[in-house]
Amino acid sequence: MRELKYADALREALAEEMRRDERVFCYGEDVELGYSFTVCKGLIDEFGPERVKDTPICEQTIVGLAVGAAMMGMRPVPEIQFCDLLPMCMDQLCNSAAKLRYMSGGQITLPLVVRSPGGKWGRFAAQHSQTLDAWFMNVPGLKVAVPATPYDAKGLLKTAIRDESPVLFIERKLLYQIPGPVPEEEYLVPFGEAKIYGDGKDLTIVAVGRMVSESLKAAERLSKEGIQATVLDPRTLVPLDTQAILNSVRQTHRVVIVEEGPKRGGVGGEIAAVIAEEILDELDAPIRRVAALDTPIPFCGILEDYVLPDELKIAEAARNLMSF
Amino acid sequence: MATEVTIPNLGYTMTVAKILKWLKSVGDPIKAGEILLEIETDKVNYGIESPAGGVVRAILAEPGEEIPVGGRVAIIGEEKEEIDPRLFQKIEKEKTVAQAVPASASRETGATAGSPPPEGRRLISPLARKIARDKGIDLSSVTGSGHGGRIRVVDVEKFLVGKKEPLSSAQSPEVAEMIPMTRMRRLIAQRLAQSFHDAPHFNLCTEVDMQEALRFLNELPPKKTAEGGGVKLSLNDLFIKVVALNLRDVPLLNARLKEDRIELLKEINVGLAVALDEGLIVPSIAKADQKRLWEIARERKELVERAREGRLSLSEIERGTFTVSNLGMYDIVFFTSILNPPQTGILSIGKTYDRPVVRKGEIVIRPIVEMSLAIDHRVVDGAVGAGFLQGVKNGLENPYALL
Repeated sequence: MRELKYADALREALAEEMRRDERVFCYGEDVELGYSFTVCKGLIDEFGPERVKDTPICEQTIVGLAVGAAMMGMRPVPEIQFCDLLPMCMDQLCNSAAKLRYMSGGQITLPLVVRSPGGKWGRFAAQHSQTLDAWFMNVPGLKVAVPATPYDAKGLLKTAIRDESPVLFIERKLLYQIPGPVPEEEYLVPFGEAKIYGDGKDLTIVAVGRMVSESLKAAERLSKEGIQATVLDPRTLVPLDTQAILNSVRQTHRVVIVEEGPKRGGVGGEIAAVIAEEILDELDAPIRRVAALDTPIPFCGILEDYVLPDELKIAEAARNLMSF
Repeated sequence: MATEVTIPNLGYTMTVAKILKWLKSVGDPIKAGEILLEIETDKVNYGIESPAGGVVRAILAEPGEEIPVGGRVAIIGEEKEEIDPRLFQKIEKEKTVAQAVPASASRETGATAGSPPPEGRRLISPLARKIARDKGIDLSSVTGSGHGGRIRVVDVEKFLVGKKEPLSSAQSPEVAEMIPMTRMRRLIAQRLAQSFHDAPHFNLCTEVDMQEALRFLNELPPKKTAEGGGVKLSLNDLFIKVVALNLRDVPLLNARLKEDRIELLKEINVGLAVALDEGLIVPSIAKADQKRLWEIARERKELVERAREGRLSLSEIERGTFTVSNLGMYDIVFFTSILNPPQTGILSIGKTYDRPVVRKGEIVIRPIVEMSLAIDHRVVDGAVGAGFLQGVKNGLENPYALL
């Protein structure tokens, strides 16, 4: 199968959907030239300045405009350059986009997709390195997708654009230039369907976003030590494939949950709670969370690495569980 | 006014005490401060004093019974005093009352009635508990292999396998006598198994020329002053002193591992392993690095005597930061030890005996002692341990510097 980078796979999804449906359009800061992560680069050549548009540096406007356009029947795909800037448009996203379909009794649909990259880029400091997935899991009315591979990025974005509800599509800066197999023919990746890597019987590692590849590396290390791990990527946090998670833990009886965001109030806490509520009796060891420390992300590279989870920390947590 | 006598908390690991014997009976007069009963804990036997004067009005526990810390065991009062009958209730009755409360509370919250009784303080994984419930296994007969003796699925499975294929009695030797483990034996078993399992040990070995040390001991008469109390210095005192001084230079060996940090300890308290019929016990000499040899000798003598009588205090046993184990009185030339948790090092000392050695190209006969230092590799690497052992060797070979 041919290989595409994550950013290129996303661009292909955008282009295919814009060709398929002329109501789809994308815009944001520096989108015409395709800064800063190249996803929209070159789209303007095919679709013109009407459908690929730069905006002022004003996130409220970007998402506010999407809400209005979606209400009027368009399918906007705005980009917020860093997910750290999503708090700027919290009201538009959480009060307008997430609520209007419900409050209008379904008279209004809001088929919009806000794309935004999260996570580490490497020495981008506390305001440009955050992972805020957990914030938006807590907003009824929003769907949240976090693709981990080029294949999932493309398939999930196409699904998101066709969805009638607002979707927050959180990408990962460090994944943009990572290649992976992407088929030539068209495909969709459904929401709420986890992807499972391997069938290790000793423990389940549930991982989100960039932590999926770190977990796969950790699983490889562990397998050399005789510990067989299954890695499970929920792919969308809302809706969450709790059945897949529970089924896997029923097989392995041990679980480590990995996320790039801070541990306190995180995605891992939510998943851990679901497991404990549903299948406590299947656990042979405590649930472990591997996540960022509860501090701002440091600028200093050494400290940044110290704060963020990685394959070594994941492997260590797994070993600890095996002997617990 | 009636006064309750309760089981005191003698150390943070203590949860229950066994009643050994009563020194008074119901109706006996007793003074405040007089010993009323003796109890046995994990570590020591201890006499409980009466908190008040008067008459023993009630005794609420029999010898052999195990009573939790804080549990009421006797009532002291005036001879004719009217006492609230509730005070005479035995500890078991209190327990039943206490258990009734959560049961009714759980009904309110809708939990299933008839849920299994609590398993006490044993740690059990939820899945292990479920499997045991399904298969009708009594978890009290399963040994846990997880942290802190936690029972995991693997332990239940092992237990099940053991059940299915019992050793044929024709092959296994017949049991002549069953010796139930005492609390002390159980504690030793549990702590040392945990130490051996959790702390990666390794040993460094050296030999020390004891010529100067023996001369030093022979030349010093027993000290008759208050400081010495007429005690004769022994090799053990030298070992303790030299070890203590060298621990000052190598604080990592006077440390303990707590989760993800190493705690260097302020005091240098050197423990000396004492063999008793009931088991090994390690009383320690506090701040041994700051004490003169005579003080160490006097304390060592006292501690060993009291250890033999079972009269050590908990702090004398628990305060140790490093252990010295000497089997020199036997014909043991060399041995290694298991760490005394949570300590980081233990020095094992064999017999001092005459042996040919090479000095300046000549074979000469010298009193030699072989010793091994076991250390926890999680805390300390070999070079640090080697430096310490070198220091101990130098100290013993130049004993006059200790005065």
